[in-house]
Amino acid sequence: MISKLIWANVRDQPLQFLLAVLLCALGMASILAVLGLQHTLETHGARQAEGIDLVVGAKGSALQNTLAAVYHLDVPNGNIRLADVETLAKHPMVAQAIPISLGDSVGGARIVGAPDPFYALYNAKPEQGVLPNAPLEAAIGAAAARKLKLRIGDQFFGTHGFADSGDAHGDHAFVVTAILAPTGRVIDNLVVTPLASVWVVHAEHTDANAPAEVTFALLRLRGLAAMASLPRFINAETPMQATSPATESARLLANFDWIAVIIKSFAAALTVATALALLGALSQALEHRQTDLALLRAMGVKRAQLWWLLLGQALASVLLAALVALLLIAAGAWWLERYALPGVVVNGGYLAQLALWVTLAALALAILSTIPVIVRTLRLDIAALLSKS
Amino acid sequence: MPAPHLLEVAKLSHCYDSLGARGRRIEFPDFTLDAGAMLLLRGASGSGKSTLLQRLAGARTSSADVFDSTRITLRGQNILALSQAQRDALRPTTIGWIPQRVHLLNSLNVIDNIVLPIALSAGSKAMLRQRALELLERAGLSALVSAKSTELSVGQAARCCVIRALIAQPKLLLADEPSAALDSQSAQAIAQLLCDFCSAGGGLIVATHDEPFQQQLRSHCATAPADIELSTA
Repeated sequence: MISKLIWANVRDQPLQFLLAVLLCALGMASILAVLGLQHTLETHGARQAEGIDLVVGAKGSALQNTLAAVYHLDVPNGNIRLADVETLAKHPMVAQAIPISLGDSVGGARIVGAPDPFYALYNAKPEQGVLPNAPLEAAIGAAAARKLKLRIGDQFFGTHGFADSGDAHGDHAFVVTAILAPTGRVIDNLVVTPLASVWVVHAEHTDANAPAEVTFALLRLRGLAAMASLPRFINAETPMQATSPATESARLLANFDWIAVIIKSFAAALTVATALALLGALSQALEHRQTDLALLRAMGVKRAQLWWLLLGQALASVLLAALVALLLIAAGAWWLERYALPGVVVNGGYLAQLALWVTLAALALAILSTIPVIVRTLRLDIAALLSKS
Repeated sequence: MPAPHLLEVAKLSHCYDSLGARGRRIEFPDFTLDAGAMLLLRGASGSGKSTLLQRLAGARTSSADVFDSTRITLRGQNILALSQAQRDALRPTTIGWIPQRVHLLNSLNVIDNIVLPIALSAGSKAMLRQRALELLERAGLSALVSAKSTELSVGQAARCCVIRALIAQPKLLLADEPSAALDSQSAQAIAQLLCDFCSAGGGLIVATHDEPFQQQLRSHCATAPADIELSTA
C-alpha cells in the first residue's frame, strides 16, 4: 500500500515530481560529466605515450618535441638524419626505433610518414582495405576518415604544414588503401603513409644528394638502466635530442594541478546543490501534503511507514534521476567521441562505476534529507490540522 | 462483579499551552461509556468538544494532565500513561476518530481512501474491500467506488470519512461534528451509519451542536443516547 500511495502522490503532482527528478538528474549528470571528463582526458593523454619510452628529434624544446611526436599537437623543432636513427636502432639499449616524418596535413589531419611498426605501436588494424605498401598510398585513422569523409580508393592532396591554409602539393595525389579501426589513440586522427611518400612529395624542394631525413624516432628501450643513461648519451654524443614523454607530460600537467582542484571543488559544490535540491523538494512536498500526513498519523500510520512513504518518494526520485543522468551522460559521451573530441575513448566501465557511486551517494543524501522532514512530520499538530475547516 | 466500562474519564482538564500561564483551562466532567452506548457531546463553539475528542483519540496532550488522578481509561487501560507512539497505535482498530475536517487523500480514489488505514497495517485486502463496498452501499455511495476523491461533494466526502473510521471496526468511535455543512439527506445517512455501529456493540461519542442531527441520532438508535453539555465558562 505504501508503494501505491507513493505512486499516487507522484501521479497527483507530476510536475513537482518531475522538477525534483530533473534537478537531481542535472546535479548527478554534472558530477558525472566533470569527473568523467577529467578521467577521460587524463587517461587519453596517458595512453598516447604507451609504448614510447623516448622521443628523439632535433635539438630544441623538449616539450615541443613531445607534443609534436606523441600528441601530434605542436610543430617539431626540425628534422634528424635517418642514418642517425638507424644507428641508434642498433644500440643495445634500444629495443625498437620507429622513424616518423611530419610536415604535411590534409583537412587538418596530419600526414605521418612511418613504417609498418608504427601501426603495431598503436595496435591499429585496417577496418577496410589493406595497409599501404607503396609511396603515396595512405591509411586513414578512424576519426580522420569520418571527418574527411574519405573512403577506400579516394584520392586527396596534402598541404604543406599543419593548417588548412598551407600550399597544396597538387602534383602528388595520395590514394586511400585502408581505413583503420578505432583505437582510442592519436593514430585515429592521423593519415599514415610510408616514409618514402614524404620524400616523394618534397623531392623538388630538397637536394637530391642530401641525406634522407625524418622528423622523429619513437624509441622503446630495454630496461630501466637505458632510461637513465641513453637520453644523456643521445643529448651529449649526437646531434639529436632525446625526451621522455612521461617526464615532459608530468611536468606539463604539474602546472595544471589547480585545474583538477577546481574541477573537484566544482563537483563537491554540485553534490551539495543536489542534496539541497532533494531537501527542498521533500520539504516542499511536506508543506503541500501536511494535512495528508496529519491524516495518516490520525489513522494510526506507524512512524516507520511514514518514513518509508517520504523516503520511498525521495528514493524513487533519486533512482529515476540516476537513470536520466545516465542517459544524459551516455548521450554526452557519444557526442564527445563522435564530434567534440574524435579519437577520445570514454571509458564506459569507469563511468558506470562512477555512476554507481554517485547514485549510492545520492541515495544516502536522500535518506539524510528525509530525516529533518520526518522529524517535522512527527511534530505536526494533527489535532490542529484536522480541526481546520 | 460488574463488567468494566468501555471508557472512563476522570478529572480530565485541558490547558491551551500556547497561551502560556495565561492559557485557558477547560475542566471536563467525569463520565463513562459502555459498549453499544452513545454519548452526545453538546455545547457552543469553543466549549471544548473537539478538544475532548482529540484528547480521547490520543491525538492531543496537555500539561494540565496530573497522572495520579486524571484518567482516560479505555478497556481498562489508562491511555494517558501511554507513549505517543502507543497512543497512535490505538487508532484505527481500537479508537476510530472522525476529525472535524473532512479530508481525503486527493491522490487516491474513494475505495483506496477507505481501506487505507487498515491496508497500511494488516488484514486481508479482499475482505477489507468487500466490507468497504458494503459500507459504501449502505451510505448510498456505491456508484462512486472508483471516483477520485476530488470529484466528491462535501456530503459524499463526509460519508467517506465516516466509512473510513468504521472500516477497522473500532471499539470506540469519536465523531467530531460529522454533520457540519451537510444537507439533511447526507446527515441522515451518516446518522444511520453511526447508529448501526452502536447497534453492533461499538461505543460512540458524537460532538455536535446540530439539533436536527441530534434528533436523527435519537430516532435511529435503539437505546437513548446520554448527553453531556460542555459550557464555555
